[in-house]
Amino acid sequence: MKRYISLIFCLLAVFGWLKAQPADVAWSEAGEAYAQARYQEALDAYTSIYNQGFESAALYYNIGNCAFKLGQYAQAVLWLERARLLEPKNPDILYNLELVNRFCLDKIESPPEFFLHTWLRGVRDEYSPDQWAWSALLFLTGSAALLLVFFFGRSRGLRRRAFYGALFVFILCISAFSFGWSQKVNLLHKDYAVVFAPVASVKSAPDQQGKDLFIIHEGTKLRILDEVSGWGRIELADRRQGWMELKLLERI
Amino acid sequence: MTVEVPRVVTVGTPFRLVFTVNATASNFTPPSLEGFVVLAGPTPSTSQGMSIINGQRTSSVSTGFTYVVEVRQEGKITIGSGSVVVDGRTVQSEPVIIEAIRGDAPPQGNNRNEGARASEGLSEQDLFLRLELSKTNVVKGEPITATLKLYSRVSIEAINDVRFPTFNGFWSQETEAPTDIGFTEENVGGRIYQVALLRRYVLLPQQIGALNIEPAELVCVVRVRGGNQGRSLFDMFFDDFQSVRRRISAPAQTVHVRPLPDGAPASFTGAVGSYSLSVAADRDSLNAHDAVSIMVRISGEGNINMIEAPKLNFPINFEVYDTRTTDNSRSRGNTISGTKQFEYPVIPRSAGTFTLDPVEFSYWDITQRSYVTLRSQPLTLRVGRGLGSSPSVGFDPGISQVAVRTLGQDIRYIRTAMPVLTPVGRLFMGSVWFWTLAGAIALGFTGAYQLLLRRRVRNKDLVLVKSRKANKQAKMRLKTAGALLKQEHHTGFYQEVHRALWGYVGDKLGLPPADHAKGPVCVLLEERKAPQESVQEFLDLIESCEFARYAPASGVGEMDKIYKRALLSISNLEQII
Repeated sequence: MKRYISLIFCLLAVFGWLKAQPADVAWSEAGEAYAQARYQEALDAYTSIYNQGFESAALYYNIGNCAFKLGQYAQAVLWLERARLLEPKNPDILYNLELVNRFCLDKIESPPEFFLHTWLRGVRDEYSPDQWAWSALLFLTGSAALLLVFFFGRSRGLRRRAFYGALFVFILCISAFSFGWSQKVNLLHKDYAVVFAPVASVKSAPDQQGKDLFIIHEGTKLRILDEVSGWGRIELADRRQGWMELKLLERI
Repeated sequence: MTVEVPRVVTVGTPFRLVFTVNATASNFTPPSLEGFVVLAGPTPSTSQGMSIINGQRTSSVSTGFTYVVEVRQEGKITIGSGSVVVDGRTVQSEPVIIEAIRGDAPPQGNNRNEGARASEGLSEQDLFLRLELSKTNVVKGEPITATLKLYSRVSIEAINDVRFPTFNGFWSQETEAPTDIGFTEENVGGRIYQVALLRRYVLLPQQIGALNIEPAELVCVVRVRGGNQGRSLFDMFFDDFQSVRRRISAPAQTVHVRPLPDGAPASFTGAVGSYSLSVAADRDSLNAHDAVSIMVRISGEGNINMIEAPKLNFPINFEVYDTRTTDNSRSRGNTISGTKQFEYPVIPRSAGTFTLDPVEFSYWDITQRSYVTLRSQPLTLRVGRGLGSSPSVGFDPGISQVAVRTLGQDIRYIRTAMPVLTPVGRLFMGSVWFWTLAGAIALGFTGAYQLLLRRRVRNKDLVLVKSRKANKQAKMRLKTAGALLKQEHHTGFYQEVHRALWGYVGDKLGLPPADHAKGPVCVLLEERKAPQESVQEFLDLIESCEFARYAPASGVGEMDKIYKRALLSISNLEQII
């Protein structure tokens, strides 16, 4: 069974590789252009790969770097954040993101988080959703095997140990699944966005007549909580909320 | 030998022409005085002087030869060189060019007309102050010479209350400031003036636009003849000169300063003029932690005192100290010239061969009207290890570890390896595949559970299973013997049973047929913890088979008994070993 699945995946991979052949050329050309400081050309080449419908943390990371070199800081933040969604723990992405954020005008202090939450997110971000999915399946298999041992074990001690083992591995399976699922939700729901307008005012209501609450600048990352006819209820990292037009934002 | 003569003379007015030597001289050979009318001379004269200053006695002797001459024609006349013999050597004077003009009445005229004119007061033409600028249309930083002169046709008793011009927007330096004012003659518009140089400046414009120079002012005390018309007879015999204070000022001047054109090189810092550059190190090989000075000399003409130290790029492991600047520029004549030296003291902190980048220095060339960039040769410094780095361990104070310094920050480089590209948004997590696999695992678990459950029911009686297995084995071994029994083939049957028993035990114990003997089989079986009676039964069976093979034919009942015993024995042994 498993051999067939891996065979199918191999076939899929080969098929994907064949399809990505022109992307390969564009990739190496873009790398050369970047090395020779022709950043606009590099950016165009990388964007063409993205426009073919492909994604990869490395691709997003490179696009972000090109945008930064061209001085388009909001673009750089957007693409690096996208890359971080795919590889949350990649040190290169985190380093560049921190550096690029220094070029953005808004400095927002995020309030301290409950340590368990930080810790859990740290564990979650250690692996990609697909890795979590595979490990969940692995744990599921393991707990099933241990359950069989529990049912058909010879000695009483073995059966008792197998029961607790199966319980533990099943908890692991559930955790892996929920981590992966949470990441998937994070990836697909596009809750976060980057401000693209040079200056944008955040209003108290989804209306131009609304009272100005605060002003944010290009490159600031925020969270969209709600949407009402072209307006979004947004929340900054420091928990301040307000309404702003969605056309001033680009979703990560 | 010097010539004393007015530089400008009036046609028809006698004047003195004196050749002076500061020694006792003889054999004066006069120059050709063509164009002059010699009224008297040469009259030799000798003067001697002695002075004691701080106990030092100095004496001076001078010999003069004086002519009184007159010029009859306008124009420039050259007085050739005259010569004298001093201590057997011939000394010559420099040729002098003088100008003769058709002037009006001589300034020191003694007739009444002149006195009457003077009594009307001083006119503007008689006494004025003038600031002469060498240029009035310059670029920023281009040197200008400004000369403040007093022109006079009357005798001046005193000058006071002098207010010198102020040069706002310029950097200015006095180049000449005579303490005692000497007058020379100068031709201004066909008149002879007594001209005194009061100040000379070099100006460097520092701002752009029309820069005004504030006028200079001074008060002259002038002797003029008294303006009393109805004077008495006696007055005719006494000159009634009187002193008149007169405030005069030089007209204000404007200098137009243009900015330097665009396109200045990166190393341009405002130098204007013409320069040369030289770069040298005071030594080119040294040890680490020794000091070395890099000397950059800029010499030339222009606003050299405004030049800033050129920027030198040193290797990172060089410790650079403050630049020392030595300015040897002097304002000479119309401009400032000289040398400016910049000394960069550095200490290399590690050994190696270092090449310093060429020093670049740019300036605006006034005559070529373009930017010029000078570039020095690259300088190579060989830095040795020094003495403190002997490889001995223990006492080695020479090596001190230094933290790695961060020089700049940039984003990290792009990833160059081709990544695995996946279609956007396709995830294994939560996909159909994932759920299918999860379902398959659940299904596999249920299937395995069912299978194992059934197996457990079947395997409930372990002994039964074992004996069934052993019976199966025994039956298989004695299959041929069973067939022979049914055929009642007496010899064949015993032979087959005998072969089957040995074959079984031989296979089980791994004995080749050559070793089929009772002794070793017995030992091996006992090693495998076979019960004594089972072994005995087996040996008995073998014996009865061997015996029966050669004994007269026994009945079918006997053969059947042997067959059952063999079956049981193999089954027993199978369950044990």
